[in-house]
Amino acid sequence: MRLNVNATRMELLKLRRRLAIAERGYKLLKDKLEELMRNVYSLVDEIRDMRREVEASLRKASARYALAKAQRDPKATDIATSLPAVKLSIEAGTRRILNVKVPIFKPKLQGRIRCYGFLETSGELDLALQSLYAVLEKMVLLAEKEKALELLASEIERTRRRVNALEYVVIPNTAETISFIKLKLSEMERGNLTRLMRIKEIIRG
Amino acid sequence: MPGLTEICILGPRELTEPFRAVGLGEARADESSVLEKARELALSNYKIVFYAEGFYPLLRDFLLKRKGRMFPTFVPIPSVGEEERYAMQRVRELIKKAIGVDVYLEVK
Repeated sequence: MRLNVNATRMELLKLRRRLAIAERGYKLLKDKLEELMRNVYSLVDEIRDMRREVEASLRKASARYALAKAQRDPKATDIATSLPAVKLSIEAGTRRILNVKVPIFKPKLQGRIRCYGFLETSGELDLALQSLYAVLEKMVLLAEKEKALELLASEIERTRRRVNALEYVVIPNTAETISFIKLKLSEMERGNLTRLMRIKEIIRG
Repeated sequence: MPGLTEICILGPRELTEPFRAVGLGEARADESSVLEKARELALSNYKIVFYAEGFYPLLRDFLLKRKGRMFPTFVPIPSVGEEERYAMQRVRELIKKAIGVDVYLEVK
């Protein structure tokens, strides 16, 4: 679709400049899109393996915890787990992947998990808590990766929309308008030339 | 308890209990109260909220609305005794949105 502009030399220059910028932007955005895709592919591989591992460990730990509750008095297990001596804190920050801010988490575990008496609790509880403790770091890492994937996916969607807008709307419309103005200007020039020739003829005649 | 730790677990009692023992914050919720709890947690100081993946259909719209926000990061984990695979489904949706095709199950 042609842009609604006056067919003047000034507009032609302006549009040519705009077209050059749009083409440069298009190339840059296309490169960005490819790089984002590459990042997503590598994240997908990491997330796939990590999630499988985390889910398997969590299922095992849950089953062990259920068994621990079933083997002994559930209330005793509740009491044993109600006052943890372990403290989990995370150092949260951000980093940038192609100007997309993604989170970084560094977990810090302090204290002991076994802070209860062994008499009234089952051995399965120790194992359940141990396996949960072991998987915590991976869970935090998984959270970091999945959030990064989510943010990158949104950025890819946005960038793709921009690339498409440039490729299918801005660049063709500007190019079409430029060629229209060129035709119009050359037509005006031809008209002027013909008029001058005609006037010359009249003056001579 | 918000503030004591920076990671919280949102879900039914049987899921949150063992995590409490390893130092995570606990937010117990059932299907009727999960959305309200999630909203509360979104305003808290938690950096990561792990939630039972069984709640994913209930939290989907809420999570979509806050997808650009960094903290707290909501991450699904498997619920006890169920295998809904919502967490995987969520990841696959994200990949499909980003790449256009589902490459999650492709063999390396």
